[in-house]
Amino acid sequence: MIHELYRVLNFFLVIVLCLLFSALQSVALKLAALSWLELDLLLLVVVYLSLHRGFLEGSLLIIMIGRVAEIHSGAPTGILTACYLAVFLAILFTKEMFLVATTFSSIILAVAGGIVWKIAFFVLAQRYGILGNSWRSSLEYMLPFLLSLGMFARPVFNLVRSLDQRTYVERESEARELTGEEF
Amino acid sequence: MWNIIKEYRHYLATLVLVIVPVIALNAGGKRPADFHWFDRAAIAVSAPVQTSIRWVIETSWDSLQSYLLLLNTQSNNRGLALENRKLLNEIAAFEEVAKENARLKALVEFNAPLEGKKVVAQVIAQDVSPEFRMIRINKGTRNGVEAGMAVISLEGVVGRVIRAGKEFSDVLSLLDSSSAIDALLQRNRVRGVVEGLGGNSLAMKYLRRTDDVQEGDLIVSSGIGGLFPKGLTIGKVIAVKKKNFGISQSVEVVPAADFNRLEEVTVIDPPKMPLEIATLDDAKEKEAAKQPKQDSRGAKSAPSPKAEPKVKAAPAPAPAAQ
Repeated sequence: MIHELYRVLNFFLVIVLCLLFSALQSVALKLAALSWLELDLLLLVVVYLSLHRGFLEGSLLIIMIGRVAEIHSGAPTGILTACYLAVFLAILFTKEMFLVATTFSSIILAVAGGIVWKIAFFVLAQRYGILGNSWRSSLEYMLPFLLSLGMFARPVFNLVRSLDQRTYVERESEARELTGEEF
Repeated sequence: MWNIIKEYRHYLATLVLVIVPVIALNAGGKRPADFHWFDRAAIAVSAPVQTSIRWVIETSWDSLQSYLLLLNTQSNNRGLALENRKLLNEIAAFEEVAKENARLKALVEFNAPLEGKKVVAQVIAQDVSPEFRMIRINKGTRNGVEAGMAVISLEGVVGRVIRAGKEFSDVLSLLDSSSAIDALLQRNRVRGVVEGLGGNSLAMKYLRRTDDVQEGDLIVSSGIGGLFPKGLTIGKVIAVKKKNFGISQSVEVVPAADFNRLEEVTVIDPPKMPLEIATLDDAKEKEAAKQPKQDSRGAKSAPSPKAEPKVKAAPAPAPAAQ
């Protein structure tokens, strides 16, 4: 019973964490000195959740994270959610094909997630005519965007993992990996 | 077949999940959706955090600056330095208040000639996604801010309100790639459209190749569309590129407003220009004059005295901002 309660609590705590991240991202990381970083903390959370959550819980969380991002952005409804879900899908495939066991491989996956996110964004934005002239600045800032994802992947993963450990989700996730149970 | 579907059911389901927001995007158009209950709840959590983070950063930065000023004094006399630190901290605090007062005073003076509703607001956050250029301000419908209003700063045009919550509103800045504003070159009144590039600069488009555009030319709003009053500064030309072929030229513009250091803005709702009102009145009167002719009885009735065309003097155009 306690375990289930913790699990539900974890779900809401992840959403609250994402709200805090989005607040941080839209204020502190937009200061003139840091704005070049183009860091997307929510994307890192999405990558982590894709690796450590089951399908249903993961997809639900990512849809909510997408909505959190959209209400803190001028983006049209659905575009950021679709991009995050594309990253989720890509990581599910990657998990099937490669072993993602070390922190380094997780970091590489975060950077790859950044590339998938950008590609998904370009495709959707082009399709719906909202790309306009923004592709140029997007490409200009691509390198700092990917580097910042790589740099911040570990601390963000550790933070979410500590949250998972406190709410017993991480143990379950590890057990699932050890037993080879399907996600 | 069933086995394949069963094996890949999660991927198929995720694909469906990706398609759902795409359909939402298709149905919702290019505009972000208005706030719903989940959005309002989420903003109720994140907006105070945004305000707090901003306050912490500003206070820390002021304290750090004050501390750095004091490092040399400390080595000379610790006691004196302690007193100095306190005084300098106070001075820094007063200076900050004085600067804010000066900014607000300048903003009030700047706003005075503008007609219509005006709401002064503070910028509390920027867009969470690097691909879009929205800013969030601390005034909403409770303060009279509504979607579609224009937003300006002391330096010039900032953008327009795209959605308004009770306490907060989102402003689509000029820098966003979906932003466009009709503009004039102040020097020779050549018209074009200023569009955002998604980065830190703008582009002025639809200028003919033969139009005289020079680096340093000031660009002001044309007033067409009725959203922004005529003559507000938009930016300055920083580069002009003319190709050997084609009918247009590409002009790069740096915005007058510094979006990285934007603190206070004014939301304005300019009243309809008298000329537009006159035109609307004339149209209504013409419509009213037509009404008796379309009488169900079929008899041609004489136009009422009200239907006589009125000639209203068009007002002189507002002076352009210098």
